[in-house]
Amino acid sequence: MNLYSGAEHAIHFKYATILNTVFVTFTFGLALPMLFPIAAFTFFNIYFLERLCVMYFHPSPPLYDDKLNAQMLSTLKWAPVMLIFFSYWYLGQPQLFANLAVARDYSFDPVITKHTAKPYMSPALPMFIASLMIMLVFLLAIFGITKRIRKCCSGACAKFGIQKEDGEFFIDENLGSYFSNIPAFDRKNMYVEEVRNRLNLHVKTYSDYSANQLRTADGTKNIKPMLSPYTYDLINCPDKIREFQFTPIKDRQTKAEDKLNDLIMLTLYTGFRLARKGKIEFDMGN
Amino acid sequence: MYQGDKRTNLLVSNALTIGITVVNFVIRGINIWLVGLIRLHTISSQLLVISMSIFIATFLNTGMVLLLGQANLDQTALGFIPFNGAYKDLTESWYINIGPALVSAMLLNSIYIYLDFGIAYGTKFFFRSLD
Repeated sequence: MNLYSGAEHAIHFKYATILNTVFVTFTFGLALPMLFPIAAFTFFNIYFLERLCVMYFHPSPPLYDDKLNAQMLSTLKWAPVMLIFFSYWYLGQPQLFANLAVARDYSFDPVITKHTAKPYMSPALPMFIASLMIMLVFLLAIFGITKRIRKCCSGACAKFGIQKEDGEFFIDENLGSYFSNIPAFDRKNMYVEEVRNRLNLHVKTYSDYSANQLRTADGTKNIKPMLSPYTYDLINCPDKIREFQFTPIKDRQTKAEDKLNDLIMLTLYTGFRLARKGKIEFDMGN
Repeated sequence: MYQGDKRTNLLVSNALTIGITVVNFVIRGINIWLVGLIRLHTISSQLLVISMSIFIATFLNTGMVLLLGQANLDQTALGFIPFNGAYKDLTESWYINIGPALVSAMLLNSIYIYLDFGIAYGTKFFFRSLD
């Protein structure tokens, strides 16, 4: 099964490639402007290949939370800072931009450019001013002054009615019960799987209450059906399903598949079967 | 003499380009393996750490090594840092020798994802054919 499914979706190095491209481009872009179209070409390639591969090659990826995205966006904010600092150095090169040439006696003598960090009237001057401003903001942030300024400004805006005052938010997502938020089709499959396990394998993975809820819960009012694995049960996790080469009951087509998957279930629940005499039950909660 | 210098420069430039790409590939594998050893609690945190570590390592390898590896800081305030490369500043020679290597490395980086896909698909195809 693993052999005939696509390779696992590896999002990490794609993100790393994007960040690397952005940072290298912003670091050297002003000296080597060719890097900007190359970066655009890289992003196009990544987008194009990702679209195709996610559709036709990779198995469905797990649901990632927003941590990765948020971190990437927050890291990307530093790229323009790199651009400004490095641009100041590139544009301040007097040999290239002020047409300054220092004579050398021998070809192997070092090239003297008379390039210093001191600003002078050149294309680098705006970058110098921007760099100073960035450093000022850094300093203010270190001493916590930016937070105070922000707080003061938002307070003033609230006073003049430009912005709403910060208050506590009470969020009511109008979610139903746990069982009603499992998508109906999956809930029915879980119930059928449970019934089959109880009848054929004598394995009871849910309490009677939970099994009954799976059967009777009203899923018509749910507004946010769950998307991730619904329980910690191994056979509900896409990764584990793949690793154990387990076929959920909804996808089985032959009796041979039934037999093989029964064997997998029995192996997974060996401990449970042994503990059955102690009346231990897995309960998804009431 | 001129042709010899030209050939040497071309060779060094191409070697740098390929070297950067190969080292980036190796770094990626090492980072994924090392972060795997940490055994973070969630897939998201693991992906986050892997992404950031690969990014930092590849950025240092692609950008900073080229910039600092050839730098000469002898006559600057940072003279205590032992960088004794060929370029005291971003001179014309830097633009001629290092610039093209960096541009080529980024160009290779832009099509590298196709190579990566080719390797993944090719491996699968090979083993499926054996099956």
